[in-house]
Amino acid sequence: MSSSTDDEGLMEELARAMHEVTEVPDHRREAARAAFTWRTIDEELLALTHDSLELADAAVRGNLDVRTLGFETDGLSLEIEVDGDRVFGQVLDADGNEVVVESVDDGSQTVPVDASGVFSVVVPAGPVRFGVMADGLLRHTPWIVLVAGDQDAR
Amino acid sequence: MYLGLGFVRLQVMKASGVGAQSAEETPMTPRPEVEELVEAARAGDAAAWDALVDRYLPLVTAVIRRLHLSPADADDVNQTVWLRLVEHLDRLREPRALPGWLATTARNEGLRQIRRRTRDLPVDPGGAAFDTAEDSDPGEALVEELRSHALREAMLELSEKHRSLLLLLLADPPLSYDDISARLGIPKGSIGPTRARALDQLRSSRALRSWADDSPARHGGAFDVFLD
Repeated sequence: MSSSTDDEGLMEELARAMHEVTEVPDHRREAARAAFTWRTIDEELLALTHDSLELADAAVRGNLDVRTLGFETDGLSLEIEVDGDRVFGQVLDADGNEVVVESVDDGSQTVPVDASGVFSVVVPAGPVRFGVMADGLLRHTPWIVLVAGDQDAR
Repeated sequence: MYLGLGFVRLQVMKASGVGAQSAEETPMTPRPEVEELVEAARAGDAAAWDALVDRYLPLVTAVIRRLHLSPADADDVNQTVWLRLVEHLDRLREPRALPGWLATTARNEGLRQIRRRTRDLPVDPGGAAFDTAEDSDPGEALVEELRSHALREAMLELSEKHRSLLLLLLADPPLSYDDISARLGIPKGSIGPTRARALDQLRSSRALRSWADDSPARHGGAFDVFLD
């Protein structure tokens, strides 16, 4: 990269940079633009507190079956386990909950939650997010991919 | 590599949100600042959002491409990155850090996909998924992509004449000087000197100067700073 001080080096860098513009697939642009329809105003997020995928050292990866994730905001937390395309979850520290699973491609589904906050749901492929209704407020997790699309079928 | 020139120009103009200009050495009409676009998008302006997408999509695409994901995974990561930005808009305190935030988010989500695939699959003794996951040092890869982004921004600061010349010189297959001379209506003999001036203008552009001032390369590639 130090070569950019001379004209030839800078032209090479430029060629690479401009080439990237031509490499953007149209469907990616469409997906990026469409993301805006999911805008919600100034909402408090259930922040991701842990994802077992991020502890991907050999010791942890010994447990191949179940991925666990946690989300939290003050006084409310959501723990989920992902097994294939099924998610088992529990909402903690809040009453009268309802959980919504939202997917860009598959719309949203409302999931019943039992008295101890436990629920189970099959989630679609691609980015999804959970919305937890508690104390009259709907709070969402960040978008995250839990189930991958089929390599060819999408 | 094929560098379809007409396409590049079209893309550049589209990305800049500014139409063709007849001006000789005059700089283009200033583009909206990132701050203005973010502000407008926060207020619900979909056109401002589209402009943000056009500006940063090549960067996000390049970062994702480096990870060699399957097409489906790459699409998922792309979609996740933009959905994250939508949800992050109100929390974005320093819009100028946006390229770094996007590049870092794209890379992190891409790595998450790689780890998930690796976990889902039976143990592969060859470990191919990890071996081919990245071309080079990860921090360096992001720095290179961010540098490319700064160069594209710098191109948009050039005068129409300078930008056109550089794009014609980058055409693949290459154009002859006769061709370039005819297209731009400038004498062959002035192509070399004009190129030199164009590159000088590029080096002194705001985009490249601010890259030099606060690029992550100067902070040891510490990309964490972009994540809130």
